[in-house]
Amino acid sequence: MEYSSISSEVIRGYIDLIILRVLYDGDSYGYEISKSITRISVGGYIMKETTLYSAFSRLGKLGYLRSYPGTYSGGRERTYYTLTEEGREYYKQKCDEWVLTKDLINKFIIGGQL
Amino acid sequence: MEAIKIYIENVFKAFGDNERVTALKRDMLAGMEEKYNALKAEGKSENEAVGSVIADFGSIDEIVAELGTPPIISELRPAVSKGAYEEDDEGIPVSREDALRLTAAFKKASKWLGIGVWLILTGVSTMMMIVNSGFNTQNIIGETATRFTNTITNPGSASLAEAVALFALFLFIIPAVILFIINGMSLNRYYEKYGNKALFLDSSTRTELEQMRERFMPKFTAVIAAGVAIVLLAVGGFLLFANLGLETFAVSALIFTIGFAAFLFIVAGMEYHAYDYVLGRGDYGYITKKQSQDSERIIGTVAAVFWPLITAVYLLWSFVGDSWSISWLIWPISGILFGAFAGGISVWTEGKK
Repeated sequence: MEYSSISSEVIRGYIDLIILRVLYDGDSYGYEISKSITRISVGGYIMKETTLYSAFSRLGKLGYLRSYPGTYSGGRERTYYTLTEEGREYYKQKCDEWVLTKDLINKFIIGGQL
Repeated sequence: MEAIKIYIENVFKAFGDNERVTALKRDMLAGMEEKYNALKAEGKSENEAVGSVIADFGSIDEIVAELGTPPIISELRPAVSKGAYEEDDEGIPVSREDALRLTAAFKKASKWLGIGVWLILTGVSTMMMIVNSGFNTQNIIGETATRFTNTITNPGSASLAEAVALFALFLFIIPAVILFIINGMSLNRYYEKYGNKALFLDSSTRTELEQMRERFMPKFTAVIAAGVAIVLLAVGGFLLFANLGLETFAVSALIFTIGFAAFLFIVAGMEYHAYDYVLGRGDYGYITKKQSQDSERIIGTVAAVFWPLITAVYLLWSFVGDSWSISWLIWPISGILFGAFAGGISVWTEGKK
């Protein structure tokens, strides 16, 4: 699927949801999160580095995730991220919002499923 | 991989050097390096791997959203920082380097000025001890002043002790004055450059300086507390020695000990003042700056007349009336009166607006 054709304004609303979903099942670090996103999207969607890391910073400030220094890999430090309780709450809210949005917009799609 | 590192360095160069930038750079570079290694492991060529990683980098706008506008851009058009500033105020954009240089200059000058004040107080204290060449002179201030002026007006009849005392005083005062002049000049450079204008800092510099100030505050409190403790110690010692009849020693020791407290107050106070100045807080809040210009002018004019006058009165009264023992009272009294006057003027000009 050509997910890269989705305009950035549209996808911006769901960057948080995407990242929080990846962290929902367990802690992870930058590169691995990026790989998971591409994997879950079944190869179609690659999140830019700047988007990813600004989101980490933003979500951290909002208290939805926490970072901690992690195990070394080939002599290098990794920053790991973990979801907070507030983060899980926020993820669920975003899921609900999406269901509602999908429902509404579908009504305006010619020939779209209800 | 080198190409990727250079790319990151260039992108982040404009944002300067602080903890947030360094942390973000490190994290992003780590992720990009892992992606690069994975691509190479898949068999991609150097060019393909580097190209792929850089293509996935993204847009600098998102970094700006997180770190704030880079300083270079804000130097070209003054970015109005949050605070007491209004859009149309006069101000000078100040780069991160200049802001840090200003703060460092204040700190450095404060230490030398503190030493200068310590030298003067130590010099006076030493002079007092020597000139009285005894530990229990009554009416020490009067005695010191009389002998001191005696040395100047009748050099021939001065005793050895008096001559040595005068010499010792100058030994301390001359380096102190030199320090005052040198450091006063170096600070004056900044006052002239920025005058009374607001200093516009970009948001990352402002945050950095605010963090520096936060880290400084506990140190400030501790140093001031130490200074106060020293003053109390000095007063206690003075009362003790005066009671034991060692009046000369008591006063000299008091002045000497207070010299240390003065050094601490000056160093801590000037650093505190430096942060206020560069961040536009407190006395240097821009709105306050505009208002205070008028009252400062009035107070300055009056001071320029008042203080020389008081000095003349003091010297005249003391020499002619030989009343050094009570004439010194003129100083605390006029100090309090002038302080009241200055305060009154400030309130009055504020009320006028």
